[in-house]
Amino acid sequence: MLGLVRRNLGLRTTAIILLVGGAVGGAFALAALPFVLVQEREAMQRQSVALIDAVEGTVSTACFVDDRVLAKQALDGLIKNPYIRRADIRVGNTTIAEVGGPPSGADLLTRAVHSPFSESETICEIRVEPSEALIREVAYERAWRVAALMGGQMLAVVLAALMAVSVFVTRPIRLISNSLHRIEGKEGGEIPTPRGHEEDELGRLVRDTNALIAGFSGLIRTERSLREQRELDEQRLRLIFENAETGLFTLTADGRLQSWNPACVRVLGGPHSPHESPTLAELLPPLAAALDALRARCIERQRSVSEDFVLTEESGLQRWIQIVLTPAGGGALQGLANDISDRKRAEEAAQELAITDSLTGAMNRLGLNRRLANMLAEHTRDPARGFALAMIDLDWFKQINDTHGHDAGDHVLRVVAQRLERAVRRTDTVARPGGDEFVLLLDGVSDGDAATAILNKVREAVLAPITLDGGAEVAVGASIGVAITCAATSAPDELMRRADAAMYGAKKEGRNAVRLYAE
Amino acid sequence: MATIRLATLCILSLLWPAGVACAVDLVVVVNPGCSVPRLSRDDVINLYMGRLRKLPDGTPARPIDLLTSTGQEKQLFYQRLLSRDLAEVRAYWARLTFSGQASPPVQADSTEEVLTLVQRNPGGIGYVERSRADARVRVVFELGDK
Repeated sequence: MLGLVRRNLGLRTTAIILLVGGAVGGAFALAALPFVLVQEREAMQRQSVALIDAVEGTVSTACFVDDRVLAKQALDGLIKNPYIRRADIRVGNTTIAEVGGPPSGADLLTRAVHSPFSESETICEIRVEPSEALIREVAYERAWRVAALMGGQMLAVVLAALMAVSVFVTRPIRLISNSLHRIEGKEGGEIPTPRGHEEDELGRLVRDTNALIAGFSGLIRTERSLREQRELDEQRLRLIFENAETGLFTLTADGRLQSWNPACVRVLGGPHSPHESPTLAELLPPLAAALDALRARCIERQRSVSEDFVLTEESGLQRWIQIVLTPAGGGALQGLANDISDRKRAEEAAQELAITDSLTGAMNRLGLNRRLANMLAEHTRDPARGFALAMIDLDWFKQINDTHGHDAGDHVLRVVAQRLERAVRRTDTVARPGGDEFVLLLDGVSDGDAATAILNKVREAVLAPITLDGGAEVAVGASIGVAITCAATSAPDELMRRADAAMYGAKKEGRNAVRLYAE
Repeated sequence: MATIRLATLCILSLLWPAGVACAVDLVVVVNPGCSVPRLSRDDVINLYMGRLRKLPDGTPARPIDLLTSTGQEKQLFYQRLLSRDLAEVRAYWARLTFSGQASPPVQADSTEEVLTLVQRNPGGIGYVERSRADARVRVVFELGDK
């Protein structure tokens, strides 16, 4: 029952009306009771007074002649009225007639009776006791009747309310609700206005709801097309992401890989499962310290940082990768990983090319200058690490050139360069700054005698006969000037000048000799 | 009210053939042997209306009335004594005779009979025109001629 009341508006309304109406009606009936009682008592009093009026003459006569029978008769007439419980007539303090039971002590209605012949002479007194029980009974009955009437009225009101709510509220609402259910989840649609409710609040509700539905439909359409557009964009971006040759990845705030593309796996060598989330250092253990430092730098500076790393694989092949990290907010980073081995190799090749003499494969002047500057800088940092610079000028080369032609000269130069490479250690440098001039840099050789010994061996290696293409044998000598690094040779030019000077000394002294620069 | 009624009666009596009605002067008389010197108006009322059964001296009272047909004395008597007309007096007695506890006064045919009855009864009381009160009776109360 309570559930039904909770589900049904009409029943709820009637329940409230019943509750309030019943309470108010009951309260009114209760409140009315005292008034009804008073009214009844007054009515009784009026009636009693009228009755007393009716018998007063008889009583007066009876008292006048002291006729108790007549007095009793008068009272008998009085007591026939159900309102009167008891009555008596007293002359002075003597009761001459009495009807009804013993006195109950209730309020009495008294009437002084005059002599029939003298208005001024009071001869007796009529006392009447009303029947309180009857008054109450009548009053309650009247109150009950009022309550019953009100109850009937309430019933009529309740029925009317039930009908009105059902017809004007519940039914249209149910219709609207059913219409709403039909269009639920679909785009567009409209609720029909229940007939007869076009102008009232329900009509307005339906119009508002329809406007809302229309608005939502538009929003949904827009949203859908936006979503489709976004999906397309995402697909496109994903394609770019997936197919990019560059490794793309994001890092969480604690440095773990969050997302990555296939290129990333190729470059970094992992991760191989989408469920892993290793750190960069875990992927590339040999670079762990450098990678952590790079990440720390990026977070500290809050801007993009990049670094190239070289990895030596198990096959011994070197691989270069470049990592770029960019802050992505909230401690997260996004990064690029590129395999730059090809570029690095190309760079190295270009570098090599730039500093190599194309004829002999020895270092050219540019390479020599660079190497010399590096070694001098190293020497300046660590004076204990000295080296020797030897300048070599080939003897008799001009004659070979003139006699056998430039090709023969070039051949001689190539052979000499090979012999020089073979004569020194791998860490030493062989350069051909130009013409028939060679320069050797002997790393770690800071002793004049040791240098002279090495260079004499070099000179002998050069002197060995060279077979030309035509079968002719030629030989070239080497005039070698040596300069050793010292405190005074911090500039490359100075060292070169000294070796040059020593070399000229060797030439002057009959060629094919080794001369150490002396102050 | 009473005055108007009296005046009306007087005017009516003027038209009466006897022509002396207004001048009727009534007195209440008792047996000459009675020791009561005077009676008050209330005494007369009480005796005639059945309240008192005895005279003040203890003699049983015997009030004597007149028949209505004897003339206007009876009407005037009750009018002057009680300010009641005869119908009211009749109704009064009807009430009392119903219970059987009291009876109205004996009715005499004439004033002469009244006088005779009063003379014969020691407790007799009657009312007569003053001029008719002779030695057979004694006046104890005067109602006057108005």
